[in-house]
Amino acid sequence: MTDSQTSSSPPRPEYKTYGQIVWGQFKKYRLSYYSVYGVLALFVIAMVAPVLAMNVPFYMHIPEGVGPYTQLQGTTSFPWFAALFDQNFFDSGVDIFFNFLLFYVPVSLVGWTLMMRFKKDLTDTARSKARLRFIGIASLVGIVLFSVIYLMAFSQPYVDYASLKELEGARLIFPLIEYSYRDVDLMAVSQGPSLEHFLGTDRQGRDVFTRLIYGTRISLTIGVVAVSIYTAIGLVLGSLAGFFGGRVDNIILRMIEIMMCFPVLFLILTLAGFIEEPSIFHIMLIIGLTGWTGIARLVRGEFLRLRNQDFVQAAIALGFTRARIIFRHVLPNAVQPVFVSATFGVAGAILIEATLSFLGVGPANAPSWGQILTSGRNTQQMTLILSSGFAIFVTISLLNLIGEGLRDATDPKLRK
Amino acid sequence: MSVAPTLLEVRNLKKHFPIKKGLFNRQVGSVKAVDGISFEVNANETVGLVGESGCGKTTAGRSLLRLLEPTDGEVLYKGQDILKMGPAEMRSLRRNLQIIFQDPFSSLNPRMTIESIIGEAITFHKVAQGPEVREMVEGLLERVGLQPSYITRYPHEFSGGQRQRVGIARALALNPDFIVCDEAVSALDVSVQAQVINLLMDLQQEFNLSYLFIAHDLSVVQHISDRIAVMYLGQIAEFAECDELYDNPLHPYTQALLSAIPQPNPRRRAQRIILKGDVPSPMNPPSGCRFHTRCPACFAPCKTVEPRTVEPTPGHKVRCHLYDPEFAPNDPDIWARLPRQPEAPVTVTGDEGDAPAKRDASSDAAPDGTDGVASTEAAETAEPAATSTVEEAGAERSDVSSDNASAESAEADSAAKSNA
Amino acid sequence: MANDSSKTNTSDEVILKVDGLKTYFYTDDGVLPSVDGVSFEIKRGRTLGLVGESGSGKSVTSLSVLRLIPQPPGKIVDGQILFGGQDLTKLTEAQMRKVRGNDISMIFQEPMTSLNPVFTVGNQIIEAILLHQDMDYAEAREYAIDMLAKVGIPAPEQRIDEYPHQMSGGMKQRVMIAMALSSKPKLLIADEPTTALDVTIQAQILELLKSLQGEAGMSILFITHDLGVVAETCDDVAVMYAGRIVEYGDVYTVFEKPAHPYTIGLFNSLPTIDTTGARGREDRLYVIPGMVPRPQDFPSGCRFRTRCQFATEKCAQLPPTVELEPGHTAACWYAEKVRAGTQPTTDGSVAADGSVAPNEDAAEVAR
Repeated sequence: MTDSQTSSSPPRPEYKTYGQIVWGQFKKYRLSYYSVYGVLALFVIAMVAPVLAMNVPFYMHIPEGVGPYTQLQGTTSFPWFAALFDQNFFDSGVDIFFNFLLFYVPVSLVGWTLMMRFKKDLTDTARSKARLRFIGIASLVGIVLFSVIYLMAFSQPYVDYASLKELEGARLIFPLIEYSYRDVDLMAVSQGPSLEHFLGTDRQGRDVFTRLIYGTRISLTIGVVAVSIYTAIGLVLGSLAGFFGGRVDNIILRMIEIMMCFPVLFLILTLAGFIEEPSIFHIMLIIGLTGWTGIARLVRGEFLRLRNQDFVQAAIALGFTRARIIFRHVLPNAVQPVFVSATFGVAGAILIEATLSFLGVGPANAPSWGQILTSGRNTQQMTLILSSGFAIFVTISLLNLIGEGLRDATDPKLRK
Repeated sequence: MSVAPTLLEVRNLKKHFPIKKGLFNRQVGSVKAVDGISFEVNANETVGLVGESGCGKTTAGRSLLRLLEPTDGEVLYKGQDILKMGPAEMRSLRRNLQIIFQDPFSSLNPRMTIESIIGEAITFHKVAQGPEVREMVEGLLERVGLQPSYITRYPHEFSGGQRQRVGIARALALNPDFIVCDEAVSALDVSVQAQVINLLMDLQQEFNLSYLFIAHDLSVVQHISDRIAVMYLGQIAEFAECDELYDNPLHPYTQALLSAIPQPNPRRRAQRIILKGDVPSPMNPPSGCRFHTRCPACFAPCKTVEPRTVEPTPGHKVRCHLYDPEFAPNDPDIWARLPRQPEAPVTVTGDEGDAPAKRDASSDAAPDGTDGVASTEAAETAEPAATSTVEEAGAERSDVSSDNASAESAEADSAAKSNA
Repeated sequence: MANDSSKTNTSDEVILKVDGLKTYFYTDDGVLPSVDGVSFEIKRGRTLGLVGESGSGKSVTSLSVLRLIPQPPGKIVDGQILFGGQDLTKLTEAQMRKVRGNDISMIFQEPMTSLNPVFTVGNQIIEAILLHQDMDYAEAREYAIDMLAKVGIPAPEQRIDEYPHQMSGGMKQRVMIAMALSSKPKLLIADEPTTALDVTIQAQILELLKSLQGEAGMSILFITHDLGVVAETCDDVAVMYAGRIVEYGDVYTVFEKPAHPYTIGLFNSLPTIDTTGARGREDRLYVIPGMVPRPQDFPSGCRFRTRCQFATEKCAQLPPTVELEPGHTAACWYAEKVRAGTQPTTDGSVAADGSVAPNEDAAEVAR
């Protein structure tokens, strides 16, 4: 019925979607809200790592007849840009991906701003819809572009740019820190903090501060990818069990129970032990394949709850197909606690990686925080232990704060 | 009303929920939520289904729409048995059979706008396409008394009464001819409840709808229904036209139920019939007549023999031994215990003779009427009294009504077990 | 409740007097005046029914009397609650604890959640008895069994050792009543005690409350939305709408000669079972247009004016509380006129002038 009060008060033009309500609630949890910016900052650091630290110059000019590299003599070049996609220099796909984002994210943001300049009169709801569509298209284009770049497998021979710096007449402009995370300097092993090396060097003489910056990439990637893997598995299995019930439910529940019989950490350790030289991809896969039980049980529970809700019964009564009921009516209502759990999961996965590295079965070649911690312990260097430990602590705290805020914001009982 | 063609006929509908236990999910019993109910709904008619919580009225409503898969029985919609239909056939038939729910908060998907909640079915069943859908949704909203501009809102913006109207619009979207109203107004405040009841009645006239109106509030049911079925523990105790049921309730349970409704009139603080004890668990319903543990007029066969449905006056069906010519007691004491004396003389349709003669004839089937009564006062749980007369009565009854035979033997079994 | 039969226990002694009670909630949406100037009194041995729809503030009123309002966001900002001569709003929390469950007891709507599932019912009753009375354990247990027997629980010696889940809803509500009455309170606050129960069980519980009141001579504040229950059980009635009492008086007077448009609308929109024939389902129910406003949208002046058929510009000012008969008051500018236009029946018939039942659905859409 029309409420007669609205005629007296000015009508509210816009109505909030469910997501907007949750976001409004979330904003009230100040600490959690600022943590979102913290994590965004970590992401930006991961993206701009090559700008901050890399032993390749942005700009290089070598005069004629100088230096060991004949092909570089008498040229002016921008080796930094080429090196970003050089699979000889960055041997990990993760680095290439973040380097790609370094260009792609700003381009997308500029594109979005320009688009919005032409469509100023959009309502909030229309804007958020357009934003969703833009994000979707941009991600798709990004994935295609990255795949093309990665598959081209561009590589160039190694050049020791640091040695060229000393040459007479050569002009090189380096990033802020002139080291790379793999840059071994045997002349400066296990040093303490100095102006040269802010956090000192490790046993191989690698700059710890640089490794710490690049470690952000590793940690975020491990967290997000591992959690994505197990969330996907958990969602599929949990939905099947919850919606169909009966035999399907029984089989999946038994699978979950069997998985849960093993202590996850020991399972991971065992699996990691089988792999000779584990890379971060192995670690992500292992965490992803062992961590899905929680999500599966969560989704199953949500499905069981929602299956008996009247709006699902109404959907059946309206004659909708099963697939439609699952994907349009049940799943969107079931994913909300999954988001919360996944946020905590990212923090957990980062911690598992650190644990594995500490126990010596981590990705030995990656500049992960866990690896830095371990090397610090081996050489009794407090700066390594404290710096990497602090990085892990901050990241996990931020993620847990977000998770808690999200949990409270989505829980109607805790509405402020 | 009897001239109208039968739209939906329910025959002996049963829904038993298995109780499973242990490692291998062994079935250890079943909750007989709905245990053999039969009724029919005519075109443009409202049939009320009343009963207390746990009597199976909601399960009945959902089973006949196959939202719950019934255990047994037939549901004939325009002559077709919908329980035998395949999934695809059923999906297209669902357009004609809709449901309105009790809880206005859980019945609308919180993630969808009003437009998609109502319009989804229209698009899915290809009733209309494109901008036409929006027009139809706006029209429906207007019809149920909401502003068409509400179309972009989400359910949480609305009050309970408004949500219920959205639920009604959704049910109407496919132009059905039968709607189950499952406690559709129970959760609403008095003033809003009146609005929704009026709306439902207007819509019935306009769209030629039939309702199965499920509720626990007898005054609401009385207001809206043409005929009323009273359910007790999974079975229909009494089924009659509205006026007949309220003026001349026959079943002791109906009588007690009617007298228990508080009347908004302080001068009429009625002498109520207060039923003793609680509703027994449907997991382990009492033997014989399911109401015998609380019935003030319980007599010998009630405890052991399951009553038949009889029709003392045309169109008035009651499932009680008192009106069954075979068992009706001669003893005036038993009738005196009845809270309210039936108005019309108890006659039985189609058969020979009149009521008193009947009672005489059946007196030997119920040899000692007073024996079972003593324990009714305290009886809170069913105590299957297995005496030799039980077996006799059971044996006699089994050939009389074939459809009760299986239930009978089960009863006898359980009685024998508890005896051993 | 104590009508006709138990007049001996009633007297003119005022047990509870609430005067100008205001309970506000301070939330993000602003200050919500959930209870805004409520006054009533309960005499010894009598039952006051507090009726209203959801959001009318009836439950907040009852919780305010016991000072059980969650604080913040709630706060009793003004008014007096006089109980046995002392103002409950001025007591310290420690003093208040002595009043609660001792002089004033309360029973709630949900018997399912009011009992702790991990203790036997006996444990919980005995705990309450030991807390408020000078008894040792054995005496308390004896007394608890007595109380259970009194509220009609069969075989109380056995059932006292049962857990709540072993009992039905009606039985649990009986246990709650036994617990509430164990301290022999002067006042029992019953907040929708039968709403969650079935009709036949409701009848049992109402009957029980009536007989217990007759024995003990206590007063009852009965909160409900069901006018039928009020008619059956109460001596006086206060009708609440949007945080205020709109009509107050003796149950016979209010039900037979209602004077506030809201009360009249409420009676008329009730489908009633009329056993005198002359009922047709073609009859439309009378409808109060619109819905109960949310506390943040309460209109100025008379809060019912946005839904009232008699409303004029004058209603934008706070209406006076008119005393129509001794003890019968209504908060309406036109109370006298409204009452005169009403037929002294409550069976759904409308006022003689015929303007009472407009086609509200059409009117709403048009708006």
